[in-house]
Amino acid sequence: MSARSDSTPWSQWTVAVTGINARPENPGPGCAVARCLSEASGFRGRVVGLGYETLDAGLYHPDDCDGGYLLPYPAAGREALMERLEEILRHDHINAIIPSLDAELPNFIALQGVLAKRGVRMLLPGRPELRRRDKDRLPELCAQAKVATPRVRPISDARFFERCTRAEEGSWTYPLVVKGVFYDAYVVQNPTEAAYRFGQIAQTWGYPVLAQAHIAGEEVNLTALGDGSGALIGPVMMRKQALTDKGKAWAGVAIDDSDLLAVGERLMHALKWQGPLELELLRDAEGVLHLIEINPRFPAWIYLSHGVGRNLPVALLGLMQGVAVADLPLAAPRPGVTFIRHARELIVRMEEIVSVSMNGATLPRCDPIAPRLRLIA
Amino acid sequence: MIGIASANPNAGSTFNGTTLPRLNDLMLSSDGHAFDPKTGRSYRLNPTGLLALQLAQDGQSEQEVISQLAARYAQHPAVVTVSTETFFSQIKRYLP
Repeated sequence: MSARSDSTPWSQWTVAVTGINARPENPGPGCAVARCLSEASGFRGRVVGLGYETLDAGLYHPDDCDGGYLLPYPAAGREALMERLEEILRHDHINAIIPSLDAELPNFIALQGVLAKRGVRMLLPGRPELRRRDKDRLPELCAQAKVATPRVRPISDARFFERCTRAEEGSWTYPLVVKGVFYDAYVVQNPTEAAYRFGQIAQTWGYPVLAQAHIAGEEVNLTALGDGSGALIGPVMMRKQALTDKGKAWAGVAIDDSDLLAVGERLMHALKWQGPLELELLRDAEGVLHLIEINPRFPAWIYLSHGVGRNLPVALLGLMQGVAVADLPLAAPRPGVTFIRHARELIVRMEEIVSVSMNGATLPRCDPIAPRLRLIA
Repeated sequence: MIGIASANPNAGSTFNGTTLPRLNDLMLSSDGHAFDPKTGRSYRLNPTGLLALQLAQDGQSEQEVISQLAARYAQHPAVVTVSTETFFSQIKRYLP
């Protein structure tokens, strides 16, 4: 297949988005990314959802995605992913993919060159940059960027948590945070609770499990784009106002914090990141910002970027096509704009479920070649 | 009585010997809602508090704020001084 995307403006691309599950307590970012594209006034292309399970809501939501396909789980490896993408590309010309889940990044990074030859664009960090923001390596990165971050330690033996109350373990005392390499984090108060969460995370995500010193404070987040130069492009900052049981934002408000912005700029300068990212930080009682995590993708609250006039998924497409940063449609910060997440039922016909379950693809909704006309607000 | 009816904020200017460098950052609406764009916190001001902050953001000195509030609400300046000092001390706590 030739690289047709070279001459097609990004506003007419077919864009595939992953991470389109929409579990209320912890939704993937994909549906929000898709909605940012679907509702962008200048976008006349198509959005295709790439899911992992038949019940991934983004496959069926006509306002978000124009259709979708199932992918093999990331653990199946890059060959399995490429084989599946080859099959999808035989049916649907995809100009760009926006991976939206942490665990799939290594596979997509490995396939970036092969997919580029088929006209499929992505803007992703390199493997070294991805590794540098791993949770167990944040102290090293933060030392370079002069950003505070709590101590972290890989744990492979739950007996560590029994020793945390003893003097010989230094300042590893409760409460502390037990977290997985990719997902999940729990604040634990005692060895019993810590051992339970350790087992739970190890069973779900494997080893090592991480122990991180607990910082009391309020969480603030920053999402932005990088182009590999070290510049922080289109930062959108948010303070969580309401949380799900998993600590995910249920409501949040856009902020304009010069301290947070400076931290973001230093981290981006140190990382030379390429693609979307999210910084998660805690502000302690003294106002010091502590970096907790760097997520290598858009956050689930990315729709707020559309709400504040900085539609980062759209800006990402622009960067993929070589649009200069100064020409990206990025409005001035609009602090005070709030989002409230809500869950709604989506009615899906049996034929649609059957199609995804049996064929790994949604039923055709429109001509895959002709871009869908969209209402422009 | 000058006060914030609920919740909390942040601020810049000198009141009661205290410098409030971010006072002008507060986004005030005419109905008494104050929003701190740095922290994302919202506050509800009573009318007197709102007027005090509006005067301060307009560049009025502490004495000018006190004089205007005293005239507006027909209160002795000494009474207004105590309330104003208390109010801006409270504001300072909210504006890190």
